[in-house]
Amino acid sequence: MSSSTSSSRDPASHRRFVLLSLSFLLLAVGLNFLLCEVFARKVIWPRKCFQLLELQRDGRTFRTVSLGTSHTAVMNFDYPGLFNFGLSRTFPSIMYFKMKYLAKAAPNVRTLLLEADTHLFYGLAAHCDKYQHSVYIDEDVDPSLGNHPRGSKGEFLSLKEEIAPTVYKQMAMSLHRLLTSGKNSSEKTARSAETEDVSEDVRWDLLPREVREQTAISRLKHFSLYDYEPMNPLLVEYYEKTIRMALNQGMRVIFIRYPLTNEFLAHHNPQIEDEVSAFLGALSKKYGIPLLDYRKVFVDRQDLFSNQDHCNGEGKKVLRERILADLRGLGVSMVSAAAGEGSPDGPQNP
Amino acid sequence: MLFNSYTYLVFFLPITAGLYFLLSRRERHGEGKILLILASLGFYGYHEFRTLPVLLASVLVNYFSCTLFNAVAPRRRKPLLVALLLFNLGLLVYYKYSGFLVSNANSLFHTGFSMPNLLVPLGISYLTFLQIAYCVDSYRGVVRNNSFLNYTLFAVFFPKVISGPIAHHNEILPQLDNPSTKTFSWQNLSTGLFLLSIGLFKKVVVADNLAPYVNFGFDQAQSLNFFSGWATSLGYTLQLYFDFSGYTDMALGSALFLNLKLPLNFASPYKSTDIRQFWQTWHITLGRFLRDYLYIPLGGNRRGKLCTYRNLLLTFLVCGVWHGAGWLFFLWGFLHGIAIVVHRAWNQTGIRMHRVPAWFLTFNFVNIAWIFFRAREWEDALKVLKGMVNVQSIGWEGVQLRQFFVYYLKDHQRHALEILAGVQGGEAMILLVMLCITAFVIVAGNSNRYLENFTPRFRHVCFFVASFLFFVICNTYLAVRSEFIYFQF
Repeated sequence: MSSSTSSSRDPASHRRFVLLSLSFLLLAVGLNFLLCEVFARKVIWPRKCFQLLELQRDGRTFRTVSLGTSHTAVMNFDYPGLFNFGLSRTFPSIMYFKMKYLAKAAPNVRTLLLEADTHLFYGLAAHCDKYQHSVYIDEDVDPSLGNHPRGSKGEFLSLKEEIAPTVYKQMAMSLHRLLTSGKNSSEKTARSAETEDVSEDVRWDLLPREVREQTAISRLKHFSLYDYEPMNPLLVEYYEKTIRMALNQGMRVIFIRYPLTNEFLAHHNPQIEDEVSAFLGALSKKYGIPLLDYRKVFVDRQDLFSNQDHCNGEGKKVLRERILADLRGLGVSMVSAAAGEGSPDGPQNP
Repeated sequence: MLFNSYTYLVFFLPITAGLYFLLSRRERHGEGKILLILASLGFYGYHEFRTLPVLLASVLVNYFSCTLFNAVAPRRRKPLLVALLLFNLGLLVYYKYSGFLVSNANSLFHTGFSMPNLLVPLGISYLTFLQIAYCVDSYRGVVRNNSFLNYTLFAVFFPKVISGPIAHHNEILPQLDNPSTKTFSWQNLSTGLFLLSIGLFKKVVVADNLAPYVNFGFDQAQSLNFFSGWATSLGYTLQLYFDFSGYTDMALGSALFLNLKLPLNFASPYKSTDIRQFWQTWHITLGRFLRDYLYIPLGGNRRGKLCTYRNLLLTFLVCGVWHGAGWLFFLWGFLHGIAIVVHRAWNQTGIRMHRVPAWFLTFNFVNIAWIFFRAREWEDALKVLKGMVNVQSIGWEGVQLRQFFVYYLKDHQRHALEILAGVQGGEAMILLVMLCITAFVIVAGNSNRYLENFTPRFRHVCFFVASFLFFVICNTYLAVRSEFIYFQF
């Protein structure tokens, strides 16, 4: 077949072509599947469950934990006693299961920084079936809250919906990391790549105004925050259950509302905003929970956002300092249990 | 059933071909044809079974009416033809154009007729033309007696039933009784497989990857600038070609599995240096039908200049409306009709244009006309056109490709597209990609050469494997599967 003298009428060359093509295709598809499966198992799954691994390794040293969605990524910093348990789509039902897990894996936690952003309580929140959360789920959830799958390493990971679409992109990103920052990329990079804090150095303010507006509106619609709809009572119930569990564990709960861009704030449904504020106010009063509200802290610093509701690297740094100062003001310390053993408020971190 | 689906490629096509040759080997040719008819009906019904009775009724009426041409007195043949044409066109108008006609009547006469909510039978436009050709030729007495099985198989043959090519009965019917088509052929199988891989590549690798950008530009973007305007229009020009010619390659390849040769539909149309050449190389079977069954019967070029121009214009208006029920299709047909008329008038001056400006002019005319073909609303077409002439918008903030790729790699394609809509660095890059693909289309050969003379080489094996592997990856891991654009026509 590869001979230049083979004729187009030679049946043997056509037969060889068919057999070779189909055999190679079968081989390529098989190899591709194996490669993806190995990659998914060795790289993607551990990354998606990096919080589980951290909890298993250092759980007893954590004193302060932030819990919420990708907005909590600002708390990804190297304070030994602080653990960011937030991840994309950690909506109240998932929060509840994470809280249960936390109570077992990190018994020394004293403070819970609980996200209190509006999108936790509406539409999309009911469909929080991301694979990386499934490892924490140990009982059935109310079916109306969506199907929360339970993870298992024994499954074909690369074919799972939550992993499959990202397999090749993850491969590209791994290759990119390998080429740009050496063979062993740091855990921090891997972690930030998985938390959907979209990018460290992207600047929202560089986008044209109409694109920012469109993006903000589309995101608000995505989270059912553009047109009015009532809060999901089951999500509200799970949120309160999470608070009660934390308080029963002897934790101090603090609400945090993370910064938003001007466009996001401008197009946010005001009725929803009022409803959530009233709900949080009632919870604060009922359980004595303070609220740190950072929604409008960057009204004049739009360069600190990477998209409509996430800070970029610089924004995280600035906000982090502010949160730390406010937490100190509330008498909270982030010192690890190991570093400040025996004292609930050990020495401050550097 | 889509050609670019596992159901078709892994199960339907191999099983159908296998059973067909098994029956042929046992000399059971009639059963073989019945198998192909049933498979074709299954193929059609898998996509939309509710319109299957319409397809069958149309085939039955046409076949049995055409057999009457030899039986009735000569003076009754013309009324029979007229009745058959009315039946075929009536079916087409009823299903495809009644909504459009009613809505226009309502706006024109301020009436309140309700819009019929009809399910348009897939491929009805193709079937109508194919059967009209058969009826007219039966009336003319140039059709030999064909069996019902042969005619039905010709009409519903699965590789072409939904989107053509609009095969002429003289091309297909003689093959059905040709003994050489009854025996399995490695050559046809390998050529068919290779054509399938080319079609898959065109569809899955090129057309489907152009689609998000084109859809965003036409349907979602509020406004477009110079780069995004050109990238959107060029994107569609390329997407349509790769999508439809990819479909045709797969249809031709599938038919070759069964030893049947379908007519060519494309011959590098974007290389054309005038609009006439474009129509001789784009959707060849449609152009051929319109020429033989509309333009020539209208008088062609035999009745003077003005009549010729009128006939050309009418033919292209029909061509436009055939593609869809809408004024934008009408305008698209009108533009092409005018272009053909101008080209004919130009030719008569005897002035010859150099190949390069001639190509440039032709390509850009076709590219701009496609905007009206693709746009759903007038505003969308005007938006793209405005962007293309918005020279002032060149040179905005600078390149932000990095931002685009960061979003893209992190599975935030929507944000990535939104960035592209506003950031010209990215748009300029997209436009550059479009231009590169255009250059490739102009320079590279087309798949037709493989149909007649495919000599397998190892590079063909590599291409085949890469093309199918990409298809597997897209289907399994990226959940990407889209219909062919020409299904809607």
